[in-house]
Amino acid sequence: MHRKSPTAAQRRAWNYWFDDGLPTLVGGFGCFVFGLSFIFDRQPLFRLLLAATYCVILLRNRSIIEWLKARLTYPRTGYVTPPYSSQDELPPLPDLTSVSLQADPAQMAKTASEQHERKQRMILVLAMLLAAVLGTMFIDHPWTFAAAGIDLGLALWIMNGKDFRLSWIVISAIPLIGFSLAIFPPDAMTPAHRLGYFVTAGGLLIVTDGVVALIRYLWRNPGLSVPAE
Amino acid sequence: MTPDLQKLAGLDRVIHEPARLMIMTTLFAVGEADFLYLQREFGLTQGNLSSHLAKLEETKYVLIEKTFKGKYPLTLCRLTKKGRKAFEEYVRKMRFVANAAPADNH
Repeated sequence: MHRKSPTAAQRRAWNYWFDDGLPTLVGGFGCFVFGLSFIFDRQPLFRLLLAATYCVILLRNRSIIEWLKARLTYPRTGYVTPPYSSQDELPPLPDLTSVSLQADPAQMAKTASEQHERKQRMILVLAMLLAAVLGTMFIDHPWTFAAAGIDLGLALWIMNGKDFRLSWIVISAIPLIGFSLAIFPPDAMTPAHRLGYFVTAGGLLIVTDGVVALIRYLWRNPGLSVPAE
Repeated sequence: MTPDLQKLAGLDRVIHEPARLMIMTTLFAVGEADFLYLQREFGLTQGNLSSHLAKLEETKYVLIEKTFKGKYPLTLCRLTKKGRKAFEEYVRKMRFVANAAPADNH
């Protein structure tokens, strides 16, 4: 029998959320649509449609993923509270250490500082994303793509395993997209186009990662389980 | 017998059973989970898990709710306040017992 601690149980529940690839797929599709809306900046109606789609994905992200999971994941492998519920909506769930009279102070301090660390991580990653976006849009030099690629790859690496789960192929391929766009820059580059090409390619990569994870999940769990009475 | 070890006699026997301890530990950590998730997590048979959940429900440690996610019916399980308190108390007692045990030097 495996050792069961709440930390391990929470970690497995967190991994379970990403196992089927649906959060990655939806997030990647959002990036893809967002990028396209910059590329098609001369077709207002199509751009409006893309922007509306992106807004729906951004605002209803959780509902979309839950809707898909209710049809694909829960009937196959069951339901457990999604990780964001404990992170964003409810007070953090206590762990065994914090309920013990003999709690290790170092462990308790570690637990208390986790949310603070997450905030700091988010601020750092947002700054890195902003630098990549502004740099790509406003510095008209092909090698800006390469720098932005490395910057985005680093931002994803910082968040990976803590805020979402992406394969290492995606994280290492983002800088490669930057280098590809630097070496073979697309024609007719406006600031919006530069950002658009980058985000679209990155989104497509993340969608591919999600699709691969989904196929693997469905391969491992082909049949629907009969719900318990 | 030392006072720490005497606490063993006062352990909650409903929680102390290994399968129920796994259920309580997981529900304490994750909030709520459905029957299928718990079954897969612990490798228990449907009948075995049902009987343990029934026992925990009987003592009002676990709340079992039949609901739907989309069209799929879920049997959701979560700890009640009484269940959370009982589990916390169980952990405290076990901590005392662990402190009374000789340390593993390996």
